[in-house]
Amino acid sequence: MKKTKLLSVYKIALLIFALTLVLMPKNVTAMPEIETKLLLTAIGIDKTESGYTVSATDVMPAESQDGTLRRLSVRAEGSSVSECLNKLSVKMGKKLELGLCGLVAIGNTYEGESVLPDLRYLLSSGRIISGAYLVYCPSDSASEMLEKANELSAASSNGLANLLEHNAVENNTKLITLLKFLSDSASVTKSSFMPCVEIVEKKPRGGEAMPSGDDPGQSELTGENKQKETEIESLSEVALFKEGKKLMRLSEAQTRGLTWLDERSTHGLVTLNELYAGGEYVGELHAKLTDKKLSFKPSFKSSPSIRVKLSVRLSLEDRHKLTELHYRNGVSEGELSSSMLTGFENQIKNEIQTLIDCTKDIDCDAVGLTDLLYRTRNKKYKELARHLSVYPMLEISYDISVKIN
Amino acid sequence: MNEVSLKQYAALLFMTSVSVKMFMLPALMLRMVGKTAFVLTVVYILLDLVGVVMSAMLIRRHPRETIFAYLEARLGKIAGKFVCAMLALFLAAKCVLMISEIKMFFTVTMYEEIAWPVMVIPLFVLMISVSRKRLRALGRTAELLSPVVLACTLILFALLAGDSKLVKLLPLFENGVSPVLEGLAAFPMWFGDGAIMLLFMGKVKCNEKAVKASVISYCTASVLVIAFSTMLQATYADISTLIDYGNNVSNMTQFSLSAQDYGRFDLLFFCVWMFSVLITLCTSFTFLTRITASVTGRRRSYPIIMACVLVLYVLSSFVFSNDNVVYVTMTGVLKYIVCPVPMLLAPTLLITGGRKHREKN
Repeated sequence: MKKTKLLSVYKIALLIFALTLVLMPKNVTAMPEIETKLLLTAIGIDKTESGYTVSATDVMPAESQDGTLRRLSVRAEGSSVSECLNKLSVKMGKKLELGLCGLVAIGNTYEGESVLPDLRYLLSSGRIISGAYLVYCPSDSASEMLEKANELSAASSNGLANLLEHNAVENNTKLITLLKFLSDSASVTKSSFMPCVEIVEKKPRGGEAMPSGDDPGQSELTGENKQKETEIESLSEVALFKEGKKLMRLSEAQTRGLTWLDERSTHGLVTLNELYAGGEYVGELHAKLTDKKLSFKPSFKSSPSIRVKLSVRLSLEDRHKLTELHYRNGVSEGELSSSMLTGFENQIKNEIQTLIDCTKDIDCDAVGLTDLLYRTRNKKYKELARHLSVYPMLEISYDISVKIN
Repeated sequence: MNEVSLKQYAALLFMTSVSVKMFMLPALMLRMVGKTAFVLTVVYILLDLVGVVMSAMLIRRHPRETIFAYLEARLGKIAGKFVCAMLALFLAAKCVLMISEIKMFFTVTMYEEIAWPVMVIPLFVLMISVSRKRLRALGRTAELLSPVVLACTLILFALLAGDSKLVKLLPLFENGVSPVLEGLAAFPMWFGDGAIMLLFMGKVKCNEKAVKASVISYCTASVLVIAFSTMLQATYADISTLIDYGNNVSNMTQFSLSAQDYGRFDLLFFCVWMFSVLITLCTSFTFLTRITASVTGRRRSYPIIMACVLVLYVLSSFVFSNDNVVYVTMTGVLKYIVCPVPMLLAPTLLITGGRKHREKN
């Protein structure tokens, strides 16, 4: 066949193919694809007596409404998470799409039961991406928390997930993804954590809660038509989990200890509670964390030990306090500087040590220090772990250096 | 007749080496072998390197003799045709594997429900078109695209590197050596680049740099493959049983970039990288049609090409429509049938032909 003839055959074939695709009955008659899908951006899982309740935030981009984003809180009950998700799809008459789901909330209804089987299902079924964030709701069911979260931010499709991510990067908040939680829980420590999120209804100036909206199971929320307003009450604490079961909730100071041991949290406000310099009381001192470098050096000499090397760079916010002290009270710059550095170093060390002490008591190594020993000093670790739990015996030493801009 | 320059040959080798091994294979290895899976990748790549070097030496030694003519001259007509038939089977299996993995990539990453038997048609049209051309067309395309593919792979590498902790791969051989040996027996279908490159015998404008160019090209591709596999395996090391056939580097960048918030801009790089799979697929198909023509003793005409396409279409769209069937078949008995002859061909020809070659010289 001649080249020109051959090219004509190709052209005709491609034209027929393109026409077939365009004129397929489904393409001609169907609604736009995005409107036929149940786009869930966050899901919450609760245990009930009969099984599970899965609640979710459904985002409905509607072309007909000037691009307004409609959000629905949807909910279904069933004997398994899988069944609940299927019921959601049936209830809404749309195909389930979880590819945009950036948040999985676990309700306090799980008390005493492991979350691992359900999270493993979500990851292995490919329904939820491994980078979705996990949060624990200590004072609400996941369903209630999601409803309240929907009223926090109508501007972004992921709402709470975006807010959490911003805080993790900028404000030293501890976050965890589905992948990391499952990986930590599958490691030798079997321990992990989840950030606790508490959202409350915004109180008016009088102090009473604002009247709540319609049926919470099916409330329609838009950016302009808010029935009630909510605010985040707590985001700076985490709950510890071992083998997927919740053990305890850490205090803010203990959570800060955990955050210091997270190499990804490199920004945020650091407060030195009390500072004395040259015999003078300075009080609280605020600084911004601008950089952090963290490394662990495991060793196994007489006992298992880890040296934590942390170098922190801070940018001082309360410089005026020090200026006053220097010019009015005559405290030298050297004294000020060494007091500040020692103060910050001690405080960081204390916060980490508080965390370690508390987690040793319940043998829950959420930082993964013993996991590091297991991976790098495997033989000795195995020998020791045959008879004893390694974490309570772990000795931790510190090499903390602070630099102030 | 020489069809590709040495530079084009090196570019084609780069594309072949970088394509299928970075697709679904790292997740499959992790699932079977556990966190030591990266050792398996390294071992396979070293074995493949030997094959690639030996193929290059043969190409260098016989610059004017095609593999078909050489095999018939060395082994006789019947045995030569038998070896060619085994090569054709190997290439057909490779094509089915590549097409299935392309399908899986798109179904897992983008479109859950895809009318594959319809959507795959343009791919086959392209394969037919390329197979009608001389190898030079493929060589030029590879030469043009290989720097772009390399750049995209490096960008993806940079996007992923920050999130992986290699310490997660420790301790080495946690469950002993037996899972690695088991893995070594399971995945030869994803390798064997040397066998494909051997088919370029008599088609390359060769000089004394042939072996050196092959080694550089293959090693560059292998470094990328090892880096990618290792990063993926480090990310999922502790939950290897939870990942499935279909988890790939794309899922990993999605995780790494929190792409549910920012959009899948990494897919642009993946789509460019996919050119390497496309070129490997077209190369394999072109050789499949040439070998089929040689075995049947006919000219490489439309009936031969259409017959090959029809077989691949039916196999990939209907027989192996289920992902797990592909996995089970490719790691099952099939590999014992189609892999040994092509993979051992270059070393055997080189060793047995060495003495004759010296005598002749």
